[in-house]
Amino acid sequence: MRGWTFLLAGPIVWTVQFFALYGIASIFLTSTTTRVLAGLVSLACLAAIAWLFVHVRRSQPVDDPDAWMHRVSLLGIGVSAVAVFWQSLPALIA
Amino acid sequence: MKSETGFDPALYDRFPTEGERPEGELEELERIWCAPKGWQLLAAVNNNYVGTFYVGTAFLFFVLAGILALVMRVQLALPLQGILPQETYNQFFTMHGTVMMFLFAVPMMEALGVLLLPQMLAARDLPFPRLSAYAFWAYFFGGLCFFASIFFGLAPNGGWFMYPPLTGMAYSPGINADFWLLGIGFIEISAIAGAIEIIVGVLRTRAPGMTLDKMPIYAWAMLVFAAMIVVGFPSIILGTLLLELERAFAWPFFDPTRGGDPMLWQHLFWFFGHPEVYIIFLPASGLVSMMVPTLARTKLVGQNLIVMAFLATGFISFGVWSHHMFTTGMPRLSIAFFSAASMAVSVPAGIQVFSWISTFAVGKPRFNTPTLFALGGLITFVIGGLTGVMVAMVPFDWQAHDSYFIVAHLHYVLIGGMVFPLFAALYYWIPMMSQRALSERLGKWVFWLMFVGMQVTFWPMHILGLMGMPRRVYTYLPGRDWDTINFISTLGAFTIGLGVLLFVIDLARNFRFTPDNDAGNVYGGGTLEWLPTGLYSTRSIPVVKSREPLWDDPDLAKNVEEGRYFLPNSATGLRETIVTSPLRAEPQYLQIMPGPSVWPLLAAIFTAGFFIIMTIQAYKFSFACGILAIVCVLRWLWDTDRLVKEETVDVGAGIRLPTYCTGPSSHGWWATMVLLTVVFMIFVMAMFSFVYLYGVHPRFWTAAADKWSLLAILPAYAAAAGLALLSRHMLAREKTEHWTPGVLFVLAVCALVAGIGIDFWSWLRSGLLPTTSGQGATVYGLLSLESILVFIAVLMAGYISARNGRALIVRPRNNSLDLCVLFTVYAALEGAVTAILTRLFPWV
Ligand code: HEM
Repeated sequence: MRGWTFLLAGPIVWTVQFFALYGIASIFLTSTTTRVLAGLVSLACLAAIAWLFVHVRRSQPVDDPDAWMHRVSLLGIGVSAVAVFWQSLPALIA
Repeated sequence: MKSETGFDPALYDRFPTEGERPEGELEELERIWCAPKGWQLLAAVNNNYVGTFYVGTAFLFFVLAGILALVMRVQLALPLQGILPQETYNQFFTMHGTVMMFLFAVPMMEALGVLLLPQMLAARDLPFPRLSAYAFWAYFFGGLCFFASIFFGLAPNGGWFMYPPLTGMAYSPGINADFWLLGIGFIEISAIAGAIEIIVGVLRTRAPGMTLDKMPIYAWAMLVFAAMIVVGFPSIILGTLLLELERAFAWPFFDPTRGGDPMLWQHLFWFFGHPEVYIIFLPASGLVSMMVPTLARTKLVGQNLIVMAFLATGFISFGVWSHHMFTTGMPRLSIAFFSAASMAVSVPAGIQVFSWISTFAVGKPRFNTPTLFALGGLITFVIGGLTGVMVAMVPFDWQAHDSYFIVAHLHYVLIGGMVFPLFAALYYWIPMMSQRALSERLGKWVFWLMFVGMQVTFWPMHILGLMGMPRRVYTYLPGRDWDTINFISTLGAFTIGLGVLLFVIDLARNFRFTPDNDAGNVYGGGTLEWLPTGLYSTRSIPVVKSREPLWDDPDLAKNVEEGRYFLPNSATGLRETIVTSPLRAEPQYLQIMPGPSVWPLLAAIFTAGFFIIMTIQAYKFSFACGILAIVCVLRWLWDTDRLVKEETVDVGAGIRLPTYCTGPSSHGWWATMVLLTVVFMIFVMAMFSFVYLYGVHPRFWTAAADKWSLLAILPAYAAAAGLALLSRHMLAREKTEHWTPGVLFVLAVCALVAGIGIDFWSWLRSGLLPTTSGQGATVYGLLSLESILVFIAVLMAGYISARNGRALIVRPRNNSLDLCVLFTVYAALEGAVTAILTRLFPWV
């Protein structure tokens, strides 16, 4: 279970961010409140990603399914970091 | 090496075993796994047969929908043609789109999964063979009846996404739309059955030693595919249910004059509909990722990146549904968020494409038919992907929306991303199940006709779209410069048709189904499906040590065939397979599998009957079918979950495994959890509908039912959950009377009935009726969902009592009881949340 959690952790953070932004924009429409809240949520998600990165980096599994899951988890976290950042841009510029 | 389950990995070193296997083992396997002959073949459940029927049927629907497309193209070849009158044209494009998406693309991918997965994982079969058979037959009968509606002029005509208000009673009074809603809603249920099978199959029946990192990439694709079905399809099931309720009983879910909203349909539809595109693309990408290394004769470049891309697609594709609704006037920021996600989702697809290109570049491909189809698919898909990024830009989409540009885009993606890979896969894997491979020479013709035809048909449509030709028009006026382009497009369509025809001829000439005497590994693949097999799959189940075991161990096939690995015989004299752990695939127990049976077939016929006959409003007959379907399902389940006399058996090399397993590590538990996820997702989408309608039309909201009734409802549900858990607890106790667990379970279900009963009664007393407003409709919709769960629990109570009566509920743990308890506890939770949400929202 732990292994799966980290494997999916990056994309899960993205999902949380996305649905939070969708919810906020649906309630507060195109307004400054939306932008501020969206910014805060995005920062929190980036922080979560940073925490995940540090946490996963620290474990050093030796043999294969674990070492492999470790690698793919890191990949997922890296891609999600970019995705979360990208997803927050509309709040700043749109 | 670490262990996941306590199994000692050092035991793997005992394989391959030394010495000859005793005589007669192989014959016994053949006898146990043989399929019925003649008419009784319809009762077969072996994945080879069911898988082949399934692929064949899906292909049939491809051809049928293709013929509809050709007729449409003839109609559009010249301006003001009179071949298809307007109404028929509407039915044709609706049926073409619907059949291609729901009866061809998704089922074809599931069908290939049923056919290929057990072989690739070296399992004897998928974990629930009768469920696969049921899913197939339900789809077969349901699909054919649905298609037949076109011959009676009763086919749906509202487009493949069936937007209300066009599809509501006011504008579509006939039963055409009902055919779509009931037919498709029902076929989705069959897709979900297949998804459950695939998830449990991939996670629990891999060959020992096939850890997650050594799992074939196709299995990864299928895992994500099935998970996406589980999350995405509930939304369309709910949507079809709500629209049907609106049409049949005037519950105003989508009627803005009474507090409903047509946009709700668009949200529900596209929350399923866009992931659907990836649901179709992922398995195809899995197939390509399996074929490319073999065809290029090298290892796949970036395997880990591809796995990551699959997982990322699985998530991100659920964040893009509203890009189909850019023109509906959503808040500007929401649109921007969806636009960003829509661009992001092309990154994982790009990763896959680059990985294939690099593998081809690194390797030494021979340009045989599967390679051509894989490359042709790649080129076509990339073009479709680029136009996809174009329409993800909101201002461009405003221009291109509902024009032929979209028709071009969607066909590029679907044909490049799914149809061409499918043909590659057919050429590549047919030697696995046919005595002869298909013809290379004809194959090249098929490819070039289809590829050139594809470009000639759809490329000009981009231009037509930019020149302003709207989609879904049955004809157009001369003098707009659309004539020549349309004519060229029609010529292209017939070229594709010719290619498909040649393929069918090739099939007729060369395809000869065989479970054991096949043409073999023509292209030199390295994964387990290329081991020699019979109906029992491989003679023995190998220990997997790498991603391409056949490339890395040249003796593997011989040793497997001589029975030198796991399960070289039938340990119990019954059909069986090894269930392994989800991460490291360590052997856990021996699953006893059911054999051929007519009950899944009959159950499927009656289920299809229930839905299809309901469309023509012969309610008594329809309900009779429903009852018969339930009886058949119960009868089929009755034979399952039995103990065998051996508690543990030798599965090879002196390793002993139990023959019965209960609780969270059993495959039944896993399947139930997946099923409950589906039910939960339906519930989530229903709650979304409720909150959404309040959000858009709060003025229609009136006071909720009496909050004090919660004081009766919540204890009733708590009692239901508590009693159910108690029944499980009591079964484990030595001193418990024989009848106690059964009686406790029945009491639990009685408490459930009380809970939903009081809930209904209190709403009826409040004066709000389902027809009153969007609030009434969604409240009663939520209550109806809970009633369905309670109804199933009542059936379970009867079933558990009957099994208990026959002493089939065995101590200390029993799967049938466990799974019914799990379901009841869930039903109680959902009931409680329903009662609280409908009363306290939005006044908390
Ligand atoms: C084999 C060649 C094919 C041809 C010649 C073809 C042709 C057409 C035509 C003429 C339309 C109607 C356009 C309109 O009036 O708006 C259409 C719509 C559509 N096609 Fe195809 N098609 C083909 C294959 C496919 C495949 C393989 C799929 C999916 C897997 C597919 C999915 C659709 C969908 C979803 C629609 C939209 C239906 C709607 O507007 O409701 N088509 N196609």
